[in-house]
Amino acid sequence: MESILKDQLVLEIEALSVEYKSRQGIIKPVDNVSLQIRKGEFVGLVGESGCGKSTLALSIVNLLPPNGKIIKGKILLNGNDLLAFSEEEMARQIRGKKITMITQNPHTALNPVFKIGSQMKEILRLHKNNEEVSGKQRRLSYSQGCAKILEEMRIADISRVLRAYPHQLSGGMKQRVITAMAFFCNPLLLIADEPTTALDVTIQAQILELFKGLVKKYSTSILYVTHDLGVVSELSRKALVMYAGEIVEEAKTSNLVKNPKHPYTEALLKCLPSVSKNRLKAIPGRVPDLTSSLEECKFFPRCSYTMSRCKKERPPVLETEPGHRVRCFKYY
Amino acid sequence: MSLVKLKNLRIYFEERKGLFGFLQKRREIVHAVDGISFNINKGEILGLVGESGCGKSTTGMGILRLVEPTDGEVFFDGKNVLKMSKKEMYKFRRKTQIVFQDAVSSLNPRKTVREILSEPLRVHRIEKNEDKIEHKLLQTLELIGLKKEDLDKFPSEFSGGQIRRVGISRALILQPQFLVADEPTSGLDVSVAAGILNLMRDLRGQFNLTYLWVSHNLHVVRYISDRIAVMYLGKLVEIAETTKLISNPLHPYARALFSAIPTVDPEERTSRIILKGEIPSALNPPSGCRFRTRCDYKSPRCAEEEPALIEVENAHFVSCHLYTR
Repeated sequence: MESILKDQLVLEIEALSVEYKSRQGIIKPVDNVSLQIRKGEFVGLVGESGCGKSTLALSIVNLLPPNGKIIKGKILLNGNDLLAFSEEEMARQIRGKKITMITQNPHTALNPVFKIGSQMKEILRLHKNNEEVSGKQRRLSYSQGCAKILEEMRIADISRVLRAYPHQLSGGMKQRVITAMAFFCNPLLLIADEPTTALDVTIQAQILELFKGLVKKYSTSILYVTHDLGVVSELSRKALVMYAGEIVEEAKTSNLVKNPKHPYTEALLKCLPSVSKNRLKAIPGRVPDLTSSLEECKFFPRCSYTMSRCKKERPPVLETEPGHRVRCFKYY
Repeated sequence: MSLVKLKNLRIYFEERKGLFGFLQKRREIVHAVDGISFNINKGEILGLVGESGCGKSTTGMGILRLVEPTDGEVFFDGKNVLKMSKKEMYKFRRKTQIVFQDAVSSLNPRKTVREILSEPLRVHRIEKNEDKIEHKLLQTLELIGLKKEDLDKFPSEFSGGQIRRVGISRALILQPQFLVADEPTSGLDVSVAAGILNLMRDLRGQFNLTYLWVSHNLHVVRYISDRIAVMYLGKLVEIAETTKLISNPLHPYARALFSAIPTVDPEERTSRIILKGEIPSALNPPSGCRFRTRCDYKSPRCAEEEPALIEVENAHFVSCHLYTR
């Protein structure tokens, strides 16, 4: 893959739909999702549990569970169709190298019976034949390479960390190690799925500062998946809101927060104790059954702005102003 | 008027490490709560914040004697809790309740909601008549926003938010005066958490309850608490009325803590204070002021002498040598 210029599209997802087979029926956690991420762009994907954001993240790297399947749509990485890649090509060329992923639980990503140092060296070994590993790191020995990236993560006692087993490190430290491993091969895209939810606020602040610095330095694009609108506001330039498998709103983060267009986004903001000084407005009702395939707006049962049209059809995406897209009949 | 009073509360845990820990001569002691004093006034919500390992949950449990304090005093309504007789404890348990952090594991998975909620009524001999018990259960359910059908369900049949409500129902069915709420909204989606917060707030008003709200979620604590107490590694570092503490945190740790909260409102964003390093181990806390290893304002005095909690301005207490005379 050729190197790309700034502002070029790194990731393009077009009309992606994913289905899971379950005992309750066919579940559609991702329903006709489209999104674009440019080089060096920090994009926030906001949604509550069950909205499909984690499934979306997994489908980008084709790590869906056996009962899950991408049934339609395109995923293009730097113009290349990822869905045409074989499993081996995905494992060798994409995962851990071009696209890396960090999740909420760093301990499930680390092998408990190997020391950190050997786990990190494994990554270098797996990818060392590929020229995508930066030349500088190839010249250094493996240990030095590991030490160097841990230093970038502002870890003080590097030799202790390299010699430690995962259980000997704190949650924040493990997350830093995972982040180091994610940036090792200078990926095009980092998918971070709730990486700081389980961490204390001050440690979260450290990790987020770290991310900011790394994005600046490496121009990595980040897809940051979270339910925390506060974090998204602070870090991402662009935010997407996901509900019941659909992207319901997309905008520049500051606009999304100041001027939310979709009723769900508006309702979500009203739930936040940081925004509302008065009584919080909980959203009535529950997230819809993802097995339903009714032709109605998914947010209709809980929406306070409904019209008759909302019950009869699914609203398509509308661009109300440049860069601000929403799925809602209010704007028709 | 204080309902709850803590004086120099200490809760230590012994730790014996390794496979042959019991053979070790040297015991390791975790100073989970190390000399805490504060009051909780009747009808107030006192938020207790701090990061993992600071001892806030242990403090909540210690007040209720769910964990036996090592030293110090706890007074409830003027009576010394740690010196209570069995009979007095029995009465105490009815007046004080806890909503556990892990709602799911705090409920017996083999009991229906009906059985879970009627158990406290039977244990405390509130009602013997089955009809009256049923009536009380329905009353409580309605209050909490659950339905009659939920009585026959098992905990596994509920969603995260609903399970919390079952836990809250159980805590409230005895009509207690004081409630320790340990992370009542953590792990919940924002919209669900909002419902729980509103509920807890309403119940406080309706029944004149007093809460100790233990949480690391600063947004929530700020929203619901009248006063906030900040803990660090077993010690109380600052305590004040919420608006005062948020607008003017005095302790360097409190300042960093409040500046670290990611916020949606750009006007609220002050420059972030990023703390260096990690929280030291409670097995071997730093000498003098425990926060000194991460503090930007430390002086030699901080290593030698532990700062006392002093009143810097009206009802605003802090323990830091920047303010000791």
